[in-house]
Amino acid sequence: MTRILLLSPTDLDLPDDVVVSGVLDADTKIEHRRVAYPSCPPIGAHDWALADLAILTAGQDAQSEGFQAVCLADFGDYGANALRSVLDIPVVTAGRSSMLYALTLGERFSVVSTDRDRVRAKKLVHDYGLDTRCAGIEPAETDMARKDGPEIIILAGEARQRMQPAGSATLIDPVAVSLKIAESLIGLGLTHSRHAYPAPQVRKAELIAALSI
Amino acid sequence: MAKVLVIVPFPMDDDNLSKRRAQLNAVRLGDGIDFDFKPVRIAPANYVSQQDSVLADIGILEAGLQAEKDGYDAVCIDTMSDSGMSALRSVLDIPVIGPGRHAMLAALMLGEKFSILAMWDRWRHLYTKTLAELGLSHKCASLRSAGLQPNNQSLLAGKEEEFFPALYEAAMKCVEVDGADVIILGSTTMHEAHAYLAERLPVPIINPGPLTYRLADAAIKLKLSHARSSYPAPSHIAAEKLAAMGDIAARLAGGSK
Repeated sequence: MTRILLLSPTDLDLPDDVVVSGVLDADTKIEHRRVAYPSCPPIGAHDWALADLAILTAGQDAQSEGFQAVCLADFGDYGANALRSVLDIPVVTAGRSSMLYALTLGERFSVVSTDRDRVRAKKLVHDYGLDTRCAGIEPAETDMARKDGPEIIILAGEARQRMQPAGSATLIDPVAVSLKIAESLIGLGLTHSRHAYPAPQVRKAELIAALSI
Repeated sequence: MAKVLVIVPFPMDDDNLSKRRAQLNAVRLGDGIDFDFKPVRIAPANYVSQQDSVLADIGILEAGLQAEKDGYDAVCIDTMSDSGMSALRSVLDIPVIGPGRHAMLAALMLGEKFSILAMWDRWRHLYTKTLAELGLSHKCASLRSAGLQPNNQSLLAGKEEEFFPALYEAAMKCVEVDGADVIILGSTTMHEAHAYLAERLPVPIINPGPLTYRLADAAIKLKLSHARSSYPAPSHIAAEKLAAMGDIAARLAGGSK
């Protein structure tokens, strides 16, 4: 049995059966927990700092709870780096994994998002060094079926529920990709690098849990 | 049952092919997926020059051209050069997974910078090509080699005592001198050293062949394949010519024995 903890923000209201059957291995069990951000929607740095803490709080015990991986369903990747620093199990995030995965399929990708995620998506594209590979951050209302539209489209946040298949575009569901990548990393015995995500000298698990209000 | 074709980039006998197939033992595979290993008929002696790259592209294209018609659900290419990947993507709708591109992108899911650990320096051009295509040179901490002569048939057999410590030493330089968070084995032919290195290194090390087996499973189950805009289809597929080239190469190889 492979157990993966999926953390999603309450405002996205993701269903329990977040991926269609058959995508994951039969013995992969997803435990889906919803996390309320103290300041939502997360449209700016103030909200992001609080979202980081909320996700860290929700995931920091995942390893001792027996999970083999944690997936973060929010395209904003909040709390991901902090969780990696305190966990040895893979922490796979919707934003980072879907953008890197998109580049396995083609030369460039576009991100479709609502106002909730637009600024954050721009920041992540830049932070991950992918500016030259991202064709644009498009509003969810964009007509993706137009002739010159992008061919690889990542559906960030609320756009995931809103967008329908359009034209010949490949639509990437970041949540499904992150779960499948997590399963792959477990199968390969891989996790994040301690050199990139050094463990804290002093764990502050109790303080972090106490800050959850 | 999903079927994946793994294209092995050199002609070889069954014994040596089994050394390639052994990569399947290094990963827990997904549900309902099976892998067939097929050697090419057209190949260079090794992958150290641009001449070799052209022959490799043609050989892998020829070997995989009929994969979709033959009922395969995905193709994996058993060389970090990703030779033939773009050509096959232009003619196939099923996923075509090249370990070079996929390993570099997977490495960035695990850390900020990666190094590629090669057997020898003559493989450098294989990696600089993919790094340039991805526009991710700034994410590569280093390309380092252990200065060892590779053998693409017998792989590392019989040379473990000499080669494994040399690879470890070079990998540690990637970490301590170059600042790598993640190491990528520079060739699928180095897979026999993966477990030795993974046990000893302080950072993750990606075994590129097995990675492609999991990512083939992911692509099939997620129903995702390459974008036609990045890999436009040819106006005409030179299937007969390529098959004839394969026959010629096989005849020449048979005659040289």
